[in-house]
Amino acid sequence: MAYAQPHPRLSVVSNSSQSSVDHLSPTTTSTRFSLPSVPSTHTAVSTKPGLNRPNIYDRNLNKTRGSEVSGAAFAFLFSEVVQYTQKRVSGINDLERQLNTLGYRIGTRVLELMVWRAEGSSKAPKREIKLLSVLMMIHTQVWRAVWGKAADAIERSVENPDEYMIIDNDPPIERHISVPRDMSQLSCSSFTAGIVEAVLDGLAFPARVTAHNTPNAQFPNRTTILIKLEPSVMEREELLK
Amino acid sequence: MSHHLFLLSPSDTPLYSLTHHSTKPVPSVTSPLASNLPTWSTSAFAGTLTALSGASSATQHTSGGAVRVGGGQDRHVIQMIANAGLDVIEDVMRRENTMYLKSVDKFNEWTVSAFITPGNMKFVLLHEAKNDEGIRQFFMEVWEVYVKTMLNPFQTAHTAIRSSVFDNRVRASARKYL
Amino acid sequence: MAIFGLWVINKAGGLVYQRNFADGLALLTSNEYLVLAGTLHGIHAITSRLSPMGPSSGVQVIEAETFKMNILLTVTGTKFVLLTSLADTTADAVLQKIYDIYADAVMKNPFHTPEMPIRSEGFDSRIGTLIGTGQT
Repeated sequence: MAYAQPHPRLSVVSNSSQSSVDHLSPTTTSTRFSLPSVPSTHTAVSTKPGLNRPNIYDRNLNKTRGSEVSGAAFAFLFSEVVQYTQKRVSGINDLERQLNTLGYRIGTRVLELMVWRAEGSSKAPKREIKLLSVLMMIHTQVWRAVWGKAADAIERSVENPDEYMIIDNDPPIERHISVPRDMSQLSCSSFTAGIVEAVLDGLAFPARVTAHNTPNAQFPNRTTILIKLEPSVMEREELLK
Repeated sequence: MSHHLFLLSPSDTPLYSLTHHSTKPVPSVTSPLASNLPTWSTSAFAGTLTALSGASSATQHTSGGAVRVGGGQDRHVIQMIANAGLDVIEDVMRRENTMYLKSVDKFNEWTVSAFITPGNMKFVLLHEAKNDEGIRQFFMEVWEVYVKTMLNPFQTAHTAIRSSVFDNRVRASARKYL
Repeated sequence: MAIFGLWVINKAGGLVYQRNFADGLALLTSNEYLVLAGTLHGIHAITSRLSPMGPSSGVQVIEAETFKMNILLTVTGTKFVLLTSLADTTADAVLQKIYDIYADAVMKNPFHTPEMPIRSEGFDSRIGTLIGTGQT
């Protein structure tokens, strides 16, 4: 599936240089997903040294390493995210793409923070550069960091060598969601797909990642995250053989 | 002795840069290219040419950490060297799985070391003296503050880092290790 | 001992969910159910406003000759009504579990609009597992 317009998260580059007027007005619909340029809040904190506001820079990044988030709180939050997004899109594809974009924002942070926690104290921190180990890392570590459990399976497509599938039998994100029949194509796990896409992008394996409902008798919420790697990645893998 | 740090986004846009003059003494560097350069060179490009050749201009050997003008210290020359180093970095990061790539490139008195975060952010440091361990520790601290910066929901991998707290932290690390 | 049916009435008195389980209950049209639910809402209001000892949560059980209606009122004004046989003693516990399922499968579902009829497969199937299948 190709993007008709520039990918929304790329628009971040151009929007960031614009004035911040747009984001202050919630009524402007065109820039609802653009990120504002930041300076105001930052300088406000630093120019008042007497102000004892908690600062992320003073926090140990490992402080919340093992802490858990309330499942109910997340379910309500995500429910609102879906409702908010649904009001502002035209159709299921658009909704899935926006959820993907939101997930992408999470993914870039998950990747950086997760690897920092694993490698930050190492003498020689490592990056993953092999495709298979990257996929395994997503299946196990990323899933564990985000959902508290590893994914259930990872498979390579038989027909298309550039396609991989990560399967979750019971995604926590879908546990309380019943998609109405007229939208049965929709998978809210597009959000997860966005996270996966960000992780792959960050490690220089650009891919198009989508989510699909693949229920079976035992697991009505079973979901497949489909990873379609870009041709450039496949060419590179071919050369490395 | 000065150091130049650049933080580059995955699309190689500079998001942050820092020039740090350390109080440690400058090692005496003699550039073989520079001595071969005719001293009478007066063309319009003479300045850049001299700089690229690594020739020491008259002001270069001031003692201590004073700011030196001209020579290999020109801003645009520094940026060019950092940019040139990127090609080598791109090449090496496909093969090496370490984040810290020490001394990937050399140009005259400058050595280029780099650090690649998992999110493909590149930290590029131009330095004169060999200081592998110090630079490693410096990069690790910059990585930590960078991760913290990224946790800000208004920060993306493509927005320039304007936080003054970030700036102060990086400067403090530079004073400590470089 | 049997559970005949379940109603969910929103805070405005509208019937948003109605399902029958065991046989034996008189079958009515959906319009009649709506009217009955509205009436019950009114009766509930009377019982809660007439209370002599200050505010009251209103009627909890209505016993008829052949069955009883157990009513659970939530803090947000939603009422769960469970129609059971007279001998049934589990109604309170079952109502609490229904409330749990409602909170999970209905309120956390982004495709549910508050105060509107409940159309959620998750809610249907979990209620089915709790009470047993029956005709809807």
